[in-house]
Amino acid sequence: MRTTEQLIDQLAATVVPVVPLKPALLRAVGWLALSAAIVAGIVLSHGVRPDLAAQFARPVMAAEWLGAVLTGVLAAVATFQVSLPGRSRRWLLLPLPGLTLWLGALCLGCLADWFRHGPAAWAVGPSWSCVQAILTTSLPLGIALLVMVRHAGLVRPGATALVGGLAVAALSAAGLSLYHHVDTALMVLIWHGGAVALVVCAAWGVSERLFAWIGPARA
Amino acid sequence: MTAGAPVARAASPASAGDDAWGLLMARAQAGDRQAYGQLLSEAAPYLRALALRYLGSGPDLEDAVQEILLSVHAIRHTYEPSRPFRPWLATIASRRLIDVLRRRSRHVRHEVEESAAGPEAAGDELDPSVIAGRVVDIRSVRQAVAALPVRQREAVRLLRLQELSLEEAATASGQSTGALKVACHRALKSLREMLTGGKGGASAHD
Repeated sequence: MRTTEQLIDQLAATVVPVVPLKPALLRAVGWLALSAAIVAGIVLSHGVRPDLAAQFARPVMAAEWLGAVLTGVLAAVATFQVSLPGRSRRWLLLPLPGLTLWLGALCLGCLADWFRHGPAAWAVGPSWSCVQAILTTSLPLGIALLVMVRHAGLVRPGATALVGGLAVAALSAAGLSLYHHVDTALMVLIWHGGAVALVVCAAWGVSERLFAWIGPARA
Repeated sequence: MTAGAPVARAASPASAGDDAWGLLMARAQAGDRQAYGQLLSEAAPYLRALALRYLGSGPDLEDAVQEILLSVHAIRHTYEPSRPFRPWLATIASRRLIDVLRRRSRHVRHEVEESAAGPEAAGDELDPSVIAGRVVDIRSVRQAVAALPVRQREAVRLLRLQELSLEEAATASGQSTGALKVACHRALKSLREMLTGGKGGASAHD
């Protein structure tokens, strides 16, 4: 119906100036600042948990929280990098140190609970409020991220959604730890970890539809 | 091999072609139409060679090249002038070509399912009266489609002629699904008016 040369002529004839995207790291910092403000707002609206200082005095607990934050930060940087054409897929590995610290601290926390409380440390009850809190916090963070990397639909929608989902869920989980108390590390591992896995899988699963729905930003 | 390759070989560093294309894209980002036309014209043979490697020769080869060009156009703001151009282009191209391959395998699956459904479905296709009933003035349809604004034409081509899903068409064209729906609706309305001699031509809205 139309030759490639005709298409090139049309595109060249109608091209308008565009503003190139700011560097990926700068945009990641911008999103992280926005996310920190949103999470801080949510934490303050619930009220910081009263035993926070005591909990953070325990190295395992502090490491667990730092691991979640580090995972979120590194995953956010990876998201902005991998969403751009020409960037290496190896950026997907960037969150691994944070993830290792987070999961390692949680596993150590499970062992520490076992030493302190014995078999009671393995008691697992329902904590749907954790899942709900992580999902609802992930939503505004995820929408902001989707808008900022909307061009990724034409580049790597699945990979971008995967690390993007990890970024929003990890930061949501870190925020939740500041206002919500869960009895054991195993509960945190199951409910926080499960909610994070749910967000990551959902983001990856619907990535193509999501990016197609929003479309790339136009000049 | 390609038009892109001689550009790359013109100077000894492998990045020489990148630099030239990168400079052209930087000028295109500033609105330089001539630079943009030159860039796309020089890149098209490179993209065609890439498409040939992924897809082999086939009827959808040129469509694939055009889809890549449309994607490049849609996200040209993501190119950072300080970086090499060719990896940027290759990432977009390989994504589009993988989409085409996925589409092909889906079409083959549908054809297999249809043929497994029995010969009745294909029977009508051989009936001369049915064929005669479907004869249309192809030339006037082509002229009418060509008269549509760019986005409407893209919507018709991707959704009606290539029969892509809304998501696939959105990805290929760089338009949102909502914008595509609107463009397709307006295009069909305009086509109906043009082909039935109704008032007005193509909708002025793009």
